[in-house]
Amino acid sequence: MIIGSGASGAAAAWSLSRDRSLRIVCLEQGSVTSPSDYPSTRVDWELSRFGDYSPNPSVRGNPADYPIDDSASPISIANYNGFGGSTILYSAHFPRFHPSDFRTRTLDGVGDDWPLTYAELEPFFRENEGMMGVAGLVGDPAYPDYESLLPPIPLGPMGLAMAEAFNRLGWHWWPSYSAINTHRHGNRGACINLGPCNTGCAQGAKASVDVTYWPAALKQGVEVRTECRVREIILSSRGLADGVLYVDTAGAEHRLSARVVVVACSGVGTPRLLLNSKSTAFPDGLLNEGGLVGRNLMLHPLAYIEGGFDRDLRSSIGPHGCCILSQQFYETDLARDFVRGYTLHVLRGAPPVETAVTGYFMRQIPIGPDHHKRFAELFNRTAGIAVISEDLPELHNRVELDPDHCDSSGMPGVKVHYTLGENTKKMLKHGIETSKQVFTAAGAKVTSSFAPVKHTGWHLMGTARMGDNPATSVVNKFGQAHAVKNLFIVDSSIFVTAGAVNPVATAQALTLMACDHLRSHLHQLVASS
Amino acid sequence: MMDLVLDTILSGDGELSMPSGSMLDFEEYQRLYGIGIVVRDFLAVLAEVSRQKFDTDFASLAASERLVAINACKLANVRLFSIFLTHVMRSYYSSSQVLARLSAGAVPPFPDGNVLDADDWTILGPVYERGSIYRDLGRPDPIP
Repeated sequence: MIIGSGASGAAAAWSLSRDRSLRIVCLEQGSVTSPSDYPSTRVDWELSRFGDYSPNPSVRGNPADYPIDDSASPISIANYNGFGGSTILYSAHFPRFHPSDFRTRTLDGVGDDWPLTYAELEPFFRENEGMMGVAGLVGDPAYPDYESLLPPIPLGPMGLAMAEAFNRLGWHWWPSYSAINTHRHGNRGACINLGPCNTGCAQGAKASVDVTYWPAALKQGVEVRTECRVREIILSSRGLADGVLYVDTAGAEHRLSARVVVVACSGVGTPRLLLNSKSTAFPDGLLNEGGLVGRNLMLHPLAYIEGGFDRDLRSSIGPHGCCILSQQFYETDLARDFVRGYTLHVLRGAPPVETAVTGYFMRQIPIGPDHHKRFAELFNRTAGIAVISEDLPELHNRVELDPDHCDSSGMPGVKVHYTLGENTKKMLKHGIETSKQVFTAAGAKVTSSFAPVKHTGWHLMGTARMGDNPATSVVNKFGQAHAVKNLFIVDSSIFVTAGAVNPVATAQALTLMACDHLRSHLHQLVASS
Repeated sequence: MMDLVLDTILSGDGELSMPSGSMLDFEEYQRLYGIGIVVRDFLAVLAEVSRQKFDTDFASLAASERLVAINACKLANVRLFSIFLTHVMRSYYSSSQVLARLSAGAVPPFPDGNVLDADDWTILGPVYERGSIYRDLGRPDPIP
């Protein structure tokens, strides 16, 4: 059984169902979206970002969403609960973690080392990139070699201007690793540079897992039950996972047995489910005997810097979150006042509504007779840099159950407690300064800069960490729970540290590695259970 | 009254071929997004502000005074003003009539998409030539 149909759940479904002797059921609390219904097919697509397709579950308020109280965090949680999970709305920025990300304790004395290396994960990165379809360019000096990628996403005039600025500074940059087809791949068409990736890609060019892994997994016989919310993982008298209790849309509770349970509900949804699964053996929540479930939450705090050019660079055209990135400041440099580092992620310009509304409130575009002139001076002339910083695992950053706010089935929501570490604050400050230098070198004027950015808590990591030692971790390097051998966790909650890049590529690679292990040890595992 | 408000906020611009606010169907937008109460309350605040500031109703004001009156609503009720103005902007800039006049590229439902020129990747030459910058754990650590 797989719980959750997002990035990792889909990869698990595909990988495990290659063994046709298995019966696999995936339970998903959300419903199926159809690309033809995505808002990006309508002229008012931007408005859906403030409603049904908002990344903020509190704004979206879909029946599948559960309450997340993030009032005790400077960063609010972003997600999407539906078939395909948050990949429906993600930008598809798809870099891998770096070798050093798996060795932060040894190299820099912070965080912890992972129980695996980049080299061990490399074949699974490659397999995953083949399944998802990743555009980019091999030869990046910031990474060990990639073998092959689809052709890169076009820079556009804005991307070119920013690239030239990085060159002037003598700093690293590279075209984005983008899970977006630039030519036909996996029976999906190529991107036609529309822009609104974050409300679903109607073309199917963006690699959301409903159009990548899932068609193959369904063909291999996986059964998906949508609108089924898992409330609890149940244990047998021998202390093994015995299946789940889930509630359907009519409110009826069902029990479904399974020999192996794979959890893929995200860095917030997974600890929520574990903490809600209480038993005599685990009175504080499943696998929480060491008090680690929900702890060490990492969110990649962002800084945002925007610059305005004096010419039309068609900057709003093209995939919004995929243009170029710089990892000049990714690795530790002892000359700085922080360890570890960050990615400078260049974003395309804002679309029309966002330009007008933000422009007004930032006092860049007035109302009245001068409105259109000033709008024209801003629209398609801006670029953004998101500083993706590596936050370190800290026990006090956590998610816990919130019994005062429950979902439609009566299951408790989640309360998030998160503060920025001092190292992160210094890193963000440094990132703002370097971004300003980039804009200056590009001949652009910095129009705003701030950190942390509130509505950017997409990257949910660390809340059920992996490790070799059961006293300091929840699962082993294959996502297998130390305490319940037929229970696996395969999403980004098992990350030990956060790196400073988007986590999906690494989460899916870990999933594939875990499922390879699971498939090859399945008979042994089932026999013992 | 509503047309005057919209035309004051978003006056037409002949030079840029942009229509004025009242040329668009704000009534339909109100219906779709259920903001009738927001509009009613904003117009009430605007009427009150006009009387207090200019001792007359909004419709009787000169164009420049109308803009002053609308801006003054921000002080009277900043939350209501912000919500109302946001909706006006959203309505205007999600209209196909407006989008077609901007350099916004293809307008949904996007039959053809947008073309971006092919790139000359020799621009990456200097980056490549500077060599590897990641910490290769098989080699001595490059960090001093």
